[in-house]
Amino acid sequence: MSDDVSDLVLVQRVQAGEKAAFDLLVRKYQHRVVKLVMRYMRQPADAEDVAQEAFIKAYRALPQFRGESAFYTWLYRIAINTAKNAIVSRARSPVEYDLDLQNTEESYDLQSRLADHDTPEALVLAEEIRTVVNQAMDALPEDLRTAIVLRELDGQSYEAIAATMDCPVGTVRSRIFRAREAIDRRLLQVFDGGLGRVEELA
Amino acid sequence: MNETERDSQLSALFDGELAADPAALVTRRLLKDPALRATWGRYALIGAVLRQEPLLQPAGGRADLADRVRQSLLAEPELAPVAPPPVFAQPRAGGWRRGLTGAALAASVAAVALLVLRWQMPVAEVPLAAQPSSPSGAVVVANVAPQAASGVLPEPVVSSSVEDVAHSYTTPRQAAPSGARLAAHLVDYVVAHSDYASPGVRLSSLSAQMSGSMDPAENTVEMTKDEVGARR
Repeated sequence: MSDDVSDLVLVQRVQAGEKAAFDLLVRKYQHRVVKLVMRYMRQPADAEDVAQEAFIKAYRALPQFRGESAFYTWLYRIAINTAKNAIVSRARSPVEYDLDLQNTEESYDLQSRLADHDTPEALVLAEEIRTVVNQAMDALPEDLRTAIVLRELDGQSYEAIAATMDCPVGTVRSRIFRAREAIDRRLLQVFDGGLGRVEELA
Repeated sequence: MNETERDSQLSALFDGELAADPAALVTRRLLKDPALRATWGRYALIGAVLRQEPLLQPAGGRADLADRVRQSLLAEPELAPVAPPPVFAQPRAGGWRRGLTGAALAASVAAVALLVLRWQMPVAEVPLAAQPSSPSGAVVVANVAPQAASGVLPEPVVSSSVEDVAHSYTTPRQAAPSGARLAAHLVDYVVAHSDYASPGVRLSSLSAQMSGSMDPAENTVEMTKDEVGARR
């Protein structure tokens, strides 16, 4: 996968003092970072907190980033270490002593309930988005579906996809864009229907 | 440029498949246009759904993650300008004594480092690279000295050179510059694909090894030299 160029352009804008460019990097990678951090954190809300901290650390360290590795690789390292540090610090947290150590299962349930930020509306919205995207995928012509699957699920470059699909790179670019456009049109209907604000979900 | 072509370029930019100049141009538009930014966010959302990643949403009175990060950054000071590459002072007339002192200091540091390493490692495990006459030993000193001289902290990734230094004593390298570049590409590749791989594959020995090898690099933000030594 080669996100290097666009990420580097955004990184340079941030380094030049344009904070809005960092927001685009956050929106691009937030889902992947939270999924990564969830390997370490039990609660989704904790994972989001750690991811937030990791992004802020990354922002502060950006002046030292010189693009010698991909931005996501750099971010990945920060996220993993932030998660590990969070585990250590939470293990030392006084809150832990308040839990009933004789009944850890009950304590875990209590912790789960306290950390549960998901509202029924949020769960419905997430489910609606997943359904709409998957239905839109099913409705795509085969060549568009294959192209976007190779890109988004396998992380292949356009050049590799072109080799796999035996077509020019320009065709791959067009197919991926048309696939996204078709799915996006369906997504917009969901958001226009009042189920949620896209800025809050993306 | 019509709207379709504009969005097509945005899609290619999102995938990192635009050349540098068009990428800079589309990025400028993206930063100015809220509609394009919303589209960018939805492209990210589509990918997240396809990869079955958690969908981040505002709930329980909390804003979503990106908004919380943005809010936090409002209070942050502007980033300091990126430091220029270290510039080494030109030798001045009569400065040979200073140069000699510096060389002697560097040689002393190298000697002490080698002695400590030899002391820490079992004799049988000390490879050629750690011998005083080894070129790799010289590379280690060369890696450390400019950073110390410039006073500029290495970036987390660059600080993997600390990691490289550690490894250079156990894994002699053939050609350091191209090898380092290749290693960086390999790490990028494994990290990028670890997100797409199935859990079984992700937990393969290679993936686990890469994950493990990455930890100290970022930890250099917080890790002390002692911890680096302990890991070694």
